[in-house]
Parts: sequence; C-alpha cells; structure tokens
Amino acid sequence: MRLLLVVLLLAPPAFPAESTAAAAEVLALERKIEDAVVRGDVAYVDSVLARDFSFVHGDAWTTGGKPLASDDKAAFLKRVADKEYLVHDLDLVKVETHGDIVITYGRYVSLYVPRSLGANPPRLNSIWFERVYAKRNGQWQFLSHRTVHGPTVSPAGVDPSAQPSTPAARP
Amino acid sequence: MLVACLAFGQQSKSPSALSGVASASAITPSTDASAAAAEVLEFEKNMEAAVVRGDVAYVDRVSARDLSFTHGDGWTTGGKPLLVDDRKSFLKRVENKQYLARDLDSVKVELHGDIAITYGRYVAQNREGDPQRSWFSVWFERVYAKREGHWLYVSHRTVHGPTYGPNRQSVSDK
Repeated sequence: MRLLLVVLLLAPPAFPAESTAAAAEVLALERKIEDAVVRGDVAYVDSVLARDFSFVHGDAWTTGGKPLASDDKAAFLKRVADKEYLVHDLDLVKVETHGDIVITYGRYVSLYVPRSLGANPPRLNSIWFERVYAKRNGQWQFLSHRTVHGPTVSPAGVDPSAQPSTPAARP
Repeated sequence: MLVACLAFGQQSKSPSALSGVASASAITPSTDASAAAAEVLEFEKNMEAAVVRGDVAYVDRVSARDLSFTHGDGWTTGGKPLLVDDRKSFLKRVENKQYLARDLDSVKVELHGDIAITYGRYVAQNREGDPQRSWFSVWFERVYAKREGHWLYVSHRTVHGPTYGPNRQSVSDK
C-alpha cells in the first residue's frame, strides 16, 4: 500500500504525452478527412463519421439565428459523393484535448462547386470552425462541425475578417 | 440548391441577412435523446446557479479534471481569446463569487450519445468593475461528457461576445 502511495505521488499529475499524441492523431485524421472530402471518397468519410454526425453551416447560430444548413451524416456523405468541394484546405488549426474527446478549432479555405452553380464562378471562402471528435472503440470519430465565423469570401484564400494571432508589438 | 449557393458561394455574416434564407434541416430526436437533452439543459442550469452562489464544491464535482473555459470570441477569427481558464482558475472565480447573475437563454443541445454539445447564450453581471460594463452577453458552444452515469462540464468556448452594457436591458438583444 505504501509503495502504491509512493508511486502515485511520484507519477506526473497530468498526461501531457497522451494528450499530445491524441492531438497529433486528430489533426492527422482531420487532414485525411478533408482530403477524402475533396476526392469524393465516400467510403473513407463514412468510416470516420459518427452515426449521429452533425455539420452546421454558417455562423448565424452564434447569435441565435438559423444556420445556413445543417447536414446529418447522410446529407454530408451526399456532398462528398457529389464532389461539391474542389478545395478544403485546413489552416491555423488548434486542439483542445480532453482524454477521449478532442476539440479542434481553426479554419479551412473552401472552393464550393455544386452542380447547381451554373455559370456563376466559384469563389474561395474562409470557414472558421469548432469541431468535436471522440475516441470510440479505439478509433477517433468526427462528431460535430459548427461554423463559428463565415463563410467569408476570401480572394486567394486570404480572409479579410481574420485577426492576427498575436497582437502587434507596440513601440 | 439556391440555399446551398448562398451558403457557400457568398459572404454571409449578418444574422438578419441570413434569417429566412434557409432553415436548418430538423433532426427529430428520439424520446431517449429528448430526455438526455433535457438532462443536459438542467445540468447546465444547475451548474450556472452554483457558479453564482459560489458553490465551489458543486462546480468542482461537475467539472472535468481538464475543464477549459475560453473567454472572448477572438479565437473565432484566428485571434487570441481574452482569457483561458483551466479548472483551477475557473473554480477560483466561483470561490470569489465573481458573478452576480448568469442567466442562460436560447440554449439548444446537439447530442452524441455520452457527449453533449450545448450552444446558446447567457446574460451575466460582474460583481465588481466598471458599472458601464457590469452586464454582458455571451454566446457559447460547450461540450459535456457523461462519465460513470454523471454529466461533466468539459469545455466552454465563447463564439460571440462578450458584449458589455450598464444593465441587463442594454445587452439583452446582443
């Protein structure tokens, strides 16, 4: 018993290594998902989305409004099957880890080209998001995407509404 | 498909501009999901009430070991948040009875089994500080996890705000 107590007291208080590993795993998964979305790989995306996956488009909900659209798993997979996105490039993504739950937040630049677009030229948009992943049966699953800012038209992928990540130095 | 074009091909920020453009597809929850959602909303209300009365023991019990509370929406466009509390610093706020009011409204639940996401708003009042900025409104996304039969508070991220004012009325529509 005394030995156990000593071991417990000597053990590090948190699990930074595990936390870092989880963060890296989820960031890699998120990149793979976006690649699969662009190439229309329904089977892969299907395999990593939770059964009750939810994708909320547009930031109006952040002030009590209605989102532009809400996809369940079937609706999102239909977008993937239809190859609606030519570009989904992640950028500035950060991670908040909570054991078997990981939250990512950041942005992606999207080029949306649905069949209905017709003659209208597609434009790059910035979408800032918060996402939630959970590890279930040893595998990370994508549970939820909510757009927290955007979409914002972003010529050349530059978001005019973005803030610098660090305050400007004062003289 | 008009909705989709508007959603992804145009700049869209103003809530008023968006309202009526498209409605979210409703996902009808099962009875179990409704019960779980009600449970989470009740849990969240109780937790906020405990924050206001300074009940550290209660908030401590319902907070995940790695609770994270991100203040301010700067992060939603790549900037820095105003502040990030871990469990310890958040409990310190509770102990100090920093808030005179924290009234939830417009809160909805997105349920994923043993993980619940809530999103909505609270209107709060600071106990001390500039009276012109005493009240504030915060829109948030939160994550809760059910562990051993009990919901735990895992994460808060402010998605809009805080918006300050001298009284409740001044921030009630922010």
